[in-house]
Amino acid sequence: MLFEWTPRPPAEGTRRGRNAIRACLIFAAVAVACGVGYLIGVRLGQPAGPPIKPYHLTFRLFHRSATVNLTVSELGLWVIFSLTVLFIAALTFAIAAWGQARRTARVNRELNHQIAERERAREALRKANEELRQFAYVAAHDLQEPLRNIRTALGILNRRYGAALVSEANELIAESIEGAKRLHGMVKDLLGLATITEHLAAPADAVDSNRILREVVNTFRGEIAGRGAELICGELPALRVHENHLYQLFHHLIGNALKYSRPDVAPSIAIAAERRSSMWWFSVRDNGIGFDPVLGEEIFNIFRRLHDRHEYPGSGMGLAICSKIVSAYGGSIRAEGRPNEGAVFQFTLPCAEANRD
Amino acid sequence: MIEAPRVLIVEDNPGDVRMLRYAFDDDQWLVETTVAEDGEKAIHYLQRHGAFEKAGDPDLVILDLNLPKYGGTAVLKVIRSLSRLRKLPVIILSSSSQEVILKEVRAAGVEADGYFTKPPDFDEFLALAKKIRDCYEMSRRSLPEKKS
Repeated sequence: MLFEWTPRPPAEGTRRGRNAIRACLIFAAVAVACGVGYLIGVRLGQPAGPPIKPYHLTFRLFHRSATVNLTVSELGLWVIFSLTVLFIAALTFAIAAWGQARRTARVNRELNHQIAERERAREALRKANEELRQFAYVAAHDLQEPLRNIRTALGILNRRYGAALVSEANELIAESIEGAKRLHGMVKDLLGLATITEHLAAPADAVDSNRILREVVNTFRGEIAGRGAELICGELPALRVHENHLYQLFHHLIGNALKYSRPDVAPSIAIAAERRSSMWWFSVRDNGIGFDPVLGEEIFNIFRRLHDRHEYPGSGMGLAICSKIVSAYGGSIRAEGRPNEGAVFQFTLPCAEANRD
Repeated sequence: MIEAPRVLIVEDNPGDVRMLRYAFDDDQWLVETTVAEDGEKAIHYLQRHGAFEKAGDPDLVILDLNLPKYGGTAVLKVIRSLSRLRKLPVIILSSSSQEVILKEVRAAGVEADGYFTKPPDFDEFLALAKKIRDCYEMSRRSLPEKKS
């Protein structure tokens, strides 16, 4: 909804004006009818009698010296009376119409003002959002350099002087390296989140999601082989989604499926897609540790972690990024799971023809 | 003994310079490094301007894009415009993604010999030194062919 104002009842002013006109016309009609009826009555009552008695009207304006004497017939008097009534009716009508026009103008002014106000508020909100996004981007981008310095300096310290240090010093170095690494992961994810703008323009060319999935699987090949994981990939469609976004989606979901696996069971991950009207429904199903279904929505919140980060490391932003990506393309994401019975992540993205601008 | 290649590192972050030197050392690649902390110094060095009158030409330039005074693309433009340096191998090393680096350099209408993102990880940085060395040796091998 663009504007959410509730206009005042539109007919109020109009109805009042219309009622006034109606009353005037009825009054005028009754007056004219009375006059005509009276005259007819007089004529019928005195068929051959003397002519109708004229009326002598004396208008005294301000003073006796300015006196106008008028002699009018009874008919003339009724004509004057009727004309006066019609004049009053017309005047009332004009006043009512003028009042109504004024009221309409005022309502219009108010509405225009409200529209302008809302437009301004919307623009301010858009600007604030954009600034916030830019701030997050710059902050995350600029944080990378000192963080890289810390990591490389610690690396050199460890490599060059590690042998000469006592074991506690080496432990501290290792801890610092680990901390800097984790911080870097968070900064990188924050940067990823800040670069996803709302209402993205879909790219002109469709991307083969099978290829992107292969690339993602390739980055996890060490882990897949190490855990003896099984990957079942269905045929996936081509989508008009930025490659990087599709990559991040698969990367976080498959990464999670591998990470949150049961220690005694080899991970099995199934990726499939199904077309339903204009959307593709993707599903990533695993046989891992699952989660409490009560937390179904919460897991998409930024920095929300369900597990100890020592046990399952990560920035806590992966699913928030996934959620932001799919909603940027008008899709949605949801998760189903039960403790120790695996989880299914389903997300939708528009088919290549549907999001053609 | 073969003379050590002279490498000009155009980089304003001393941490990255230190890491690069360490990584070359770790790779046992004997190089003679010179550092220019901003774009202006790099341009003066390459043009043998002012204090750099007696400076020799480098064999390789490692160039950051985000630099004070003149950006990396401006330095690259100067290199490609000087006839004696036109074939000089230049490797772009920036904190942006490779895609962004390529876009920025191509937008300036110039080409470099290698485009790398500064790795945040120590071990990846060590691996990068090898890649830079490969890149340098490859462009050196192709130099005589280009001349003929």
